[in-house]
Amino acid sequence: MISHLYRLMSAVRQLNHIDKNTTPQSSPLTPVKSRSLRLAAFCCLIVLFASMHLKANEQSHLADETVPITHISHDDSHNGPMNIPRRTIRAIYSMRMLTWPDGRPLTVFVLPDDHPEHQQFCRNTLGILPFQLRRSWDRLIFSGKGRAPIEVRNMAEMKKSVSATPGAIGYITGVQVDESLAIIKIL
Amino acid sequence: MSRSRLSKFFNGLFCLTCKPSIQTPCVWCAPRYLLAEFNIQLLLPTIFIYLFSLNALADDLQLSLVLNQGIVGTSDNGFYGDSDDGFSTDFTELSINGNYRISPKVRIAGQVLYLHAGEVNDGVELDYLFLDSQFYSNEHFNLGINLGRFKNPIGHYNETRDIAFTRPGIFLAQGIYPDSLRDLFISSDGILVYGNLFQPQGEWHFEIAYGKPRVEKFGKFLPKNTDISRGRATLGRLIYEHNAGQWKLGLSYANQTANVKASDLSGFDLPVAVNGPVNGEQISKQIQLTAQYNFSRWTFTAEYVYTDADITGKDITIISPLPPFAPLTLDFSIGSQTESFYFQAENRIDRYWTAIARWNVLNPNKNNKNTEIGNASFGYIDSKRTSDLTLGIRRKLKKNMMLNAEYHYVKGVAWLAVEDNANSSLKSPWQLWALTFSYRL
Repeated sequence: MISHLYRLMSAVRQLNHIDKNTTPQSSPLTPVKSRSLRLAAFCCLIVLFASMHLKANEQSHLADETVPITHISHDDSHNGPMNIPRRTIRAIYSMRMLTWPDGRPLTVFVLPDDHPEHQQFCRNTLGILPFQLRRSWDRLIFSGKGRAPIEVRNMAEMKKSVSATPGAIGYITGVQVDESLAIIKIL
Repeated sequence: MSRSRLSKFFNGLFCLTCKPSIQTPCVWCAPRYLLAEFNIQLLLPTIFIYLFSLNALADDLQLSLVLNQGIVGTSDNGFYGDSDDGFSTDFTELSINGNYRISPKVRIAGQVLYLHAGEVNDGVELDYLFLDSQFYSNEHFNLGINLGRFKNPIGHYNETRDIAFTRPGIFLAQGIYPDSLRDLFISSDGILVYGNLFQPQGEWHFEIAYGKPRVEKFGKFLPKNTDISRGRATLGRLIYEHNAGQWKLGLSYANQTANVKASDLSGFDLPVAVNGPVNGEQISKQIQLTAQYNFSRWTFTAEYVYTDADITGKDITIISPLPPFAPLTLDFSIGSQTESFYFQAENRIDRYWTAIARWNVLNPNKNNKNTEIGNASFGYIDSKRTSDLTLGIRRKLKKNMMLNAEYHYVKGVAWLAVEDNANSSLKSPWQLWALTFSYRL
């Protein structure tokens, strides 16, 4: 956002420069053209400021992208770390799978849509935008064709729910994983 | 919701013997009667507190509720009630949706709807109720079967058309999802087989269904003294979603029939006298193409539908208009081809505001054949081209609450409901605005 703004401002500055320091004959832009360009740049700036203003709330909720996310599943049989292909993770979180490939019931836990870690999880792990995930869940829930994931409020609740529910899958930040949880490695 | 409408809603809950004379309710209906009559406002909350307390106890049971209340105004013509006389509040959708996991691979899902859409719909209905068994599943592929009443898998929005939160604006593109003909598309009783194929780059989803279409409301398009019975519905849909739905392409096919038996054709202005009952079939075939592209801020959606609707009659005996005026037996077929498309852009301005623009064109009589008779053949009130430019805005109030406002500039009247425009002449072009409040639990 800032870099866009900077580029636009320098473009405006350049236009001013052209206006002041060159004669109309030698200028690549006629005054009429440069005026309309300036007007266009001004309009762009207004739109940018407006959208920045509107986005201000959103920005403050965005997470620091460097917090690592750990994918976890319930593990009371102590099988240890699991390897799951990305397409299967996507299938699980799109709620198209009712069971694990080995037949155990699958229960999906997620954080709220606007939670920074959920947004990071959607973008980085699933390669999907949070609103798309919500829409595809809604289509399944309201047509009866799928189940909704279970929403937990925060990380502590996520960890507690996944370790308490057989067949559960979820994600947490950091790597403080105890015995009841298995770390999932995404292939 | 007004008290009288709620009373109507509860009327649907009484047993058949009590319904005509609810003044003397039977033992089973009495508590409901008391609640409906004297403390109507308490009943729904009580039911939900009960159901949701169950929900909290059992992970296997999931319930949700969606309420949508709107007001609709038009410059001319009626849409969702008597909207050109000020505005209409006859726009309520209440859905209760449940889903219970019986075993790891078997679920049961159902939804009950209360719909009030002007004169078109006002009542409670069982939208779907089916058993879902995902009998084969591995990490790349799964296969399942649905038994019961399921939603017809047509296009992008048909299955969830009555849920405000799944629609991009207030109304869907009326050329493709006309609310005046909702019942012809909505759900079928039978069997549906589905499969999902998960590939590294994208996912394939298919559905094939066979069953009986719901035809309770087909009758309104036919002359009086006409019996209608359910024919068959054959449905299929294939969707490819690339990169977890970044872009999406879909193809749907639907073939639905209803059997028609007319004992009296005097209402039809026919050139010959018809002797005896007429047995016929209404066949509607449609192909629908869907495309969608998602950016972080923008979503672009386009759909196209081609419908071929025919009414055929077999072994009809007519009196020959020429001497010797002997009875003749013949077959007939009346057909009309309809097409419609829309382009839709949604812009997520920020996490609260979304704007939508849409251009929708409906051509109810594409080949311009049989205009006179074809006029009523597929339920459209008029057979002229209708275009609709829509602008809308959505404000998310909370996670489960939103407000919508929408404006339409419409040329043509084809998708207006016959019921809402019974006593007035139709005008074109006309404008439509609507406001809704939606809530989900």
